[in-house]
Amino acid sequence: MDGQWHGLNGSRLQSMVEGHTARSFDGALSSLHVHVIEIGGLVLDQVREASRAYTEWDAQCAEGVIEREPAVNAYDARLGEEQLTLIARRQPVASDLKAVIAMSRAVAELERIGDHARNLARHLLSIRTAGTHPAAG
Amino acid sequence: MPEPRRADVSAAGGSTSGKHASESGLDLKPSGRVHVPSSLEEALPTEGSVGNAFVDDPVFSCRDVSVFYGEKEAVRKVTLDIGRRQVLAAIGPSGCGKSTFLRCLNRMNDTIPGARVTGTVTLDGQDIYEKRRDVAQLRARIGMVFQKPNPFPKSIYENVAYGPRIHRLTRSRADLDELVCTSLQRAGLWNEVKDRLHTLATGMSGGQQQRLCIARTLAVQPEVILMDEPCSALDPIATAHIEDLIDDLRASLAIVIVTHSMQQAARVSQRTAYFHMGRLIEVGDTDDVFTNPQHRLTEDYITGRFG
Repeated sequence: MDGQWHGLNGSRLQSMVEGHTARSFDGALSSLHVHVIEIGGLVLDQVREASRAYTEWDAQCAEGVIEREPAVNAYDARLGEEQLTLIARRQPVASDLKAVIAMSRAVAELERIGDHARNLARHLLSIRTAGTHPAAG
Repeated sequence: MPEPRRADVSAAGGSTSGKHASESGLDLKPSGRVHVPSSLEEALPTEGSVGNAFVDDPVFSCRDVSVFYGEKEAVRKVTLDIGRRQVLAAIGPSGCGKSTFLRCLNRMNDTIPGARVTGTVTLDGQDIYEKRRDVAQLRARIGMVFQKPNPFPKSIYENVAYGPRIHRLTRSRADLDELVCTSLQRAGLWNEVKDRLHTLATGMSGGQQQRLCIARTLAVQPEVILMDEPCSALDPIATAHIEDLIDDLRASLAIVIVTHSMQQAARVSQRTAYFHMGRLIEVGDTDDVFTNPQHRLTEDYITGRFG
């Protein structure tokens, strides 16, 4: 989890997921919230590592990004399930529904960003075998 | 809910908001883990409601309607229009005054000793609380359906024929037969009961009994139907039948439904009114109320944050 990113809107998100009369609803929404932050942190790492692989011309680093990509996809799938279950069981409305939908859209984007990080890493590996570092050239 | 004392409210609301809050008559003190928004004192309207209480060409117009049970003010200065050919859902926690408000609309509160109604309620522009108003005639124009189906212990046919008979709406037996038939058809019950019209209504299922009560109401050709939690005693299938029926009836009349089920309000109504401690807090298009409630109390109620 990335501290800065979490700190951006942490307290507001907190108030969004808490305060329900049924406390288990708070729990389900917070759990969803935490998992979104986790996938966010993971994707952020992937992007950092992919750019580091580029700047440092580091094949091992690029391979690491490619290896971790399935974990991002697994998170995405798990969050999809979690969101469906929450909607089916709790029928959220108004701000709760918006929070769930927003998280769902954020996760879809994060998954896509994760794909791009992997593509960067793959690209690095292919140009690295084909030639030399563009900056070094 | 207990009446708040000035001291309580001032203590909870602080010196700046205490006066405002006590005027609003709400107990604002946070208690236990119940979520009370900090801006409640400022947010609560002392008069009126948020959203849009008015419609063009209303069937009912309520202006500053208050209902007192003895000294207790159960409904406080509600101003609200009810449109033709639309469903208005009244929601809110228990004791918020939504049923009391509903019962103002056909003068059902007249029957409660000590009940007093102030303000004006007009039906098609006529004051229903006028001194010379014939209440029986009024109630023929405003049907009512209750939580528990209450068919007369008579045959299905007699249940539906009862209203038209006492109001002398038909001239012949054939007319009456036809009215019973169309009423049962409009209530979506005809196919289920056409072969047993003369059997006892009390032998039907709960959902059928409730639709029979709606058919009985329809037989006197009302302009409005008031429904006080009509599905609380029914299973989901019977509830879906009633909701489907409400949607059909909307083509020809206005319906005001009091419900504890927010999902039901969201499903069946075009406008939603949120009541809290005797006040109308917010009223607006159902589409907006369930996606963008304007008042914090409405938001907290529909998202299940207090109660």
